[in-house]
Amino acid sequence: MTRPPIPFGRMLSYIALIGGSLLMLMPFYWLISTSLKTLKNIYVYPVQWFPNPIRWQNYTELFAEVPVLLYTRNTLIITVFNVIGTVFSASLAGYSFARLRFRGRDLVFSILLATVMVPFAVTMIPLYVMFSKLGWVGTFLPLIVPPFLGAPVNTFMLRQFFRTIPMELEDAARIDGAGRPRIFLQIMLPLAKPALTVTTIQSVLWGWNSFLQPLIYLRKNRLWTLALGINSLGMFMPGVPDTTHFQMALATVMVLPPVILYFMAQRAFVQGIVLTGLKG
Amino acid sequence: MSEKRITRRQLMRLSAAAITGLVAAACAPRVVEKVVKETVIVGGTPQVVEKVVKETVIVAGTPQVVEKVVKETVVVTGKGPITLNFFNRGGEYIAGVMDSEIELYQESHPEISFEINAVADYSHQEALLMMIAAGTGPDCWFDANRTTGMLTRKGVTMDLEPFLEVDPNFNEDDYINNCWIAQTYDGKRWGLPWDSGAMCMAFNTDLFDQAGIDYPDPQTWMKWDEIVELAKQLTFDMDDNTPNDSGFAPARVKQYGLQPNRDHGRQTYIWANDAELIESDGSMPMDSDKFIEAMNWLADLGLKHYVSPTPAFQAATEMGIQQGNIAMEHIGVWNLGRINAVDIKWGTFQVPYNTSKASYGHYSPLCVFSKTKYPQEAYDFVFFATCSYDGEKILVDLGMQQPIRKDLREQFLSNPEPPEQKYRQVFYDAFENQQTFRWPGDKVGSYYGGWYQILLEFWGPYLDRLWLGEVRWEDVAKEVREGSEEILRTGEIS
Amino acid sequence: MQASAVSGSPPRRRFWRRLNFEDTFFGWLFILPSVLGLLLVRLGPVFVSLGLSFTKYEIISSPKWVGLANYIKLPTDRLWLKSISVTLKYVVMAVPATLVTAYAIALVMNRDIKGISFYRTLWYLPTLVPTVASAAIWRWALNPEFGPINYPLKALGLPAPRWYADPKWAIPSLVFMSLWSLGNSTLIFLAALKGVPDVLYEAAEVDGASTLSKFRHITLPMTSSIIFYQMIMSIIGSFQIFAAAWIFYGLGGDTIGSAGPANAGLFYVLYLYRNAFGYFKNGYACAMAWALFLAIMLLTWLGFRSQRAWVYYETEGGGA
Repeated sequence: MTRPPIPFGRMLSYIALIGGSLLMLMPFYWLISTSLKTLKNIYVYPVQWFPNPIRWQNYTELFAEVPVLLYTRNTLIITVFNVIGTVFSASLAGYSFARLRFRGRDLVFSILLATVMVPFAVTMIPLYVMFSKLGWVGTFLPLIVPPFLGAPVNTFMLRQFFRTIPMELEDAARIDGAGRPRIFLQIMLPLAKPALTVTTIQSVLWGWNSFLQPLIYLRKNRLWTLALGINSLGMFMPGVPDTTHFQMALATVMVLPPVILYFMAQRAFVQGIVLTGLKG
Repeated sequence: MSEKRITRRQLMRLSAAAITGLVAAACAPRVVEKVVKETVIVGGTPQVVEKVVKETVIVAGTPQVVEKVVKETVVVTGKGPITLNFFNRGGEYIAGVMDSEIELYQESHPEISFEINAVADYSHQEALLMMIAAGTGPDCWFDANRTTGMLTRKGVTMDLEPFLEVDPNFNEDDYINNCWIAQTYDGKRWGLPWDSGAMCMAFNTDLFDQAGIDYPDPQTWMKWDEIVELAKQLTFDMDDNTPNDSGFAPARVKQYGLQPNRDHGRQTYIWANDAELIESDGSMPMDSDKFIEAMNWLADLGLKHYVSPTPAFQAATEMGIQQGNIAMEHIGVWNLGRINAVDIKWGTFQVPYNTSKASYGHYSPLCVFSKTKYPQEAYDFVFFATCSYDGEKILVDLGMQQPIRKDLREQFLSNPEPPEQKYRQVFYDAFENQQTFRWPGDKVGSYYGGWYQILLEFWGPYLDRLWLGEVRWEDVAKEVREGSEEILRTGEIS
Repeated sequence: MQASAVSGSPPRRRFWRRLNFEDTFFGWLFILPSVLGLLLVRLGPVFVSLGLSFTKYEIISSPKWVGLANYIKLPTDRLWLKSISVTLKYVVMAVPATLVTAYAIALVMNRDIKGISFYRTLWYLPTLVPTVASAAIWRWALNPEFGPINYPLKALGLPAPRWYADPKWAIPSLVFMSLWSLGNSTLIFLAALKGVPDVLYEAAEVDGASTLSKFRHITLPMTSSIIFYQMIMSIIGSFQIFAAAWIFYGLGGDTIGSAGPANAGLFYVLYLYRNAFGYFKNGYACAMAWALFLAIMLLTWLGFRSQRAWVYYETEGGGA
């Protein structure tokens, strides 16, 4: 009774948040509900909003018929290396491009960025030929080595972040006699935590969801990732039974780890404020 | 390349007698390996040597195998134990099917091992091309009817006629008529049919029962007007009005009466109206009155009669007989497994016609790479997987395919899965009836003139506008004809 | 060589020289992985594609030199022109729409509201759904009659478009779709907003600045470097849009060979891809790629030139 009324602005925020959340939840809800439908009910028209009957067997049968754990393992390998490689190469290069002055810096940066502008369709063949000559086709190497050798998009992003961090912090450390590696590790990296979190999340997603690259290089069933498995289940092939229900179940299984991870990564943002607030 | 092949064939024939002798001589199976090594060193031409290896190994088997050996001596080349690189499109299911075929093949050919590359995607062509670009092209692969002609024109596939000609296991009479069409270019076969078969109309018996309508007779060919009238009684909007009722809402349809196949099956309607797609002189009279009439009729099913889903009105996302929202659908035998997966009771009848009865069907092939190091081994496996009794039986047992071997026909017809035998017979009636069966390009001896995929991409936008009701066929017919003839001549889409 | 330069310099300027040496040494050391990657992985294929653009290359046979023929043919290719207009239309709509929406969402997400991390997760969900599964979701969501988007529109008596089935709505549908999966852009903006030092706001509050003026004079300038980054990447990405069109129109069934109704979804890279792999015209596809590359390059360069006017940096130097 005595509580003060919620301010109008805040109430608007809530309405927008809840309404938006419902909209955003929609594809996800559809995914889960489809994964629990019988094959026949997936196509019932008008759409069945709630699966009836709920068919949990879609999941048990999926795990029995599709090597989900193997696919998960393969996907994990690619993801882990991607994250480590991307964060390693992009944070170093991003810092260097943003804060260090040396001859050739902007030229290298421009070339790096320019390589992103060439459509993948024409570099696909030369890259494939190269990896094939190295004997890397049919292994994870073409997917896990390149991130260690630079990630132009993330580098660009981190460069932009590093450029906004106040100069005074770095200057003060330099006067105290700190070298570049120490400044990078002890001052810049902690300050860039939100940006590093973003880089991590993005490279997790890239590794977890990437489709075209694994499709091209992982030609053995035992090397397939979850994304390839999902595609394989959803294909229309002559003479092949419809497995849309399995496909949706696998997609649900595949979405869960990143969702949990993302939810936990939220904390980094909260901490981010505290740190920048204190030091800024 | 072709020169090399001729030499090889001569060698095969020359050496046939000698090998038979060797085979007879090599009665002790365990000595085989020694013999192999010696001959490898001595042999000036590897082809001859390889044959000795293979045959002796097989001789070590039962008397029954010996008989096989005699047949195969003529055709076999290869280097001792060899690895065939097989490239598979399709997902896990197809991969599994291929695995069981390979396993069975290796029982009789233990010297052949397989390296399998598999892409889980609709478009396999880019993966294939990249492998070729890197010099690691597969020895054989699972192709699609859309792409074989084009790959053949570009020299990727191998002409299989010379192999079939000398293959004692191959007898043209063992196979149903017309099964080779989608792999035919310039009158020759560039792949062997692996899946699927004929196209016809399928109908959902439950939806007929609900509407209180008698089932169509599998032996009777319906006319266009008849099927439109029938379809009107099987089309319902959300308020259960049919197109015959005044309050019918075409954008709120929950069940359609008829789904013609506007994709691989489209040509059937053109022939059914006595129009032609590709003439023997390579012209494509797509602007003839008959052609225009057929195309507009197809469009009108959705736009005027409201009995077919069309992008202009279609409300539901997935439409089909197995989705339970189409009463009669023009399907291929490749839909069989999908329909049965949702437990629908269904039957079949022939595709309706206007002035001439027409039927169609096709298979997607396994092909052999023109630059393979092991043409004979690759061919042998492809032949086993597609045309041999044992190989094809695997596909038939899975219900994947309408068998091309006549001796497996009974097994397909008596399969207890729906539809009933009399309906299953419809697939054969469509395929084997020389009076009605047509295929695009039959007058020039090349399936779609070799350019199916490009033609599809060229036609797509025009067809989209036709189905939407933005144009009538006569508005674009001349343009489409010119563009299509240009593609047929040059392969250039523009 | 740097070391000798340092030792030979007069003592008074030594400090700066040393600093310079340190920057040069660590600068190159830190970008070493990227430079190696450039030399070993990235640049090779790029130059190969440039070379191939002057050839007729069918992939299955060796390339044949044709000079500028591929480039000369481009302006006469009706479908090339069509693909440019389709792509431009998308870029013009998608870039501002996604930037503004993502920024707005990030502003909301940055508010200190109870349960905000829960909302943040929800809003990120569509981005997490794997692309391969999203095709079916979108065809359902944009269903003209009963889809969850058109249903309320119809109920309210508003015009409900036929979305991707209508040539006029094909591009807006894809833009609309891209608004859904803005998770990554939002996330980056959010990180940028979190990076704005609180002291600035505190100081402004002491001066009695309004919310709007705080936004204009603190938030916008302090996040402008990231807005700039998002703009550049969004332009680069939108010109190369491929997956979305592929999902809607490229797959199976009745739409084999379709690029949307009346080629309404024939994006530049989709047409390029078809040339490269479908039509055996890889040399021509490379010429297309380089034409696109030059266009994107020019726009990016203009973008970088404009930075001085609106992007705030702590460090000096225009960069790139």
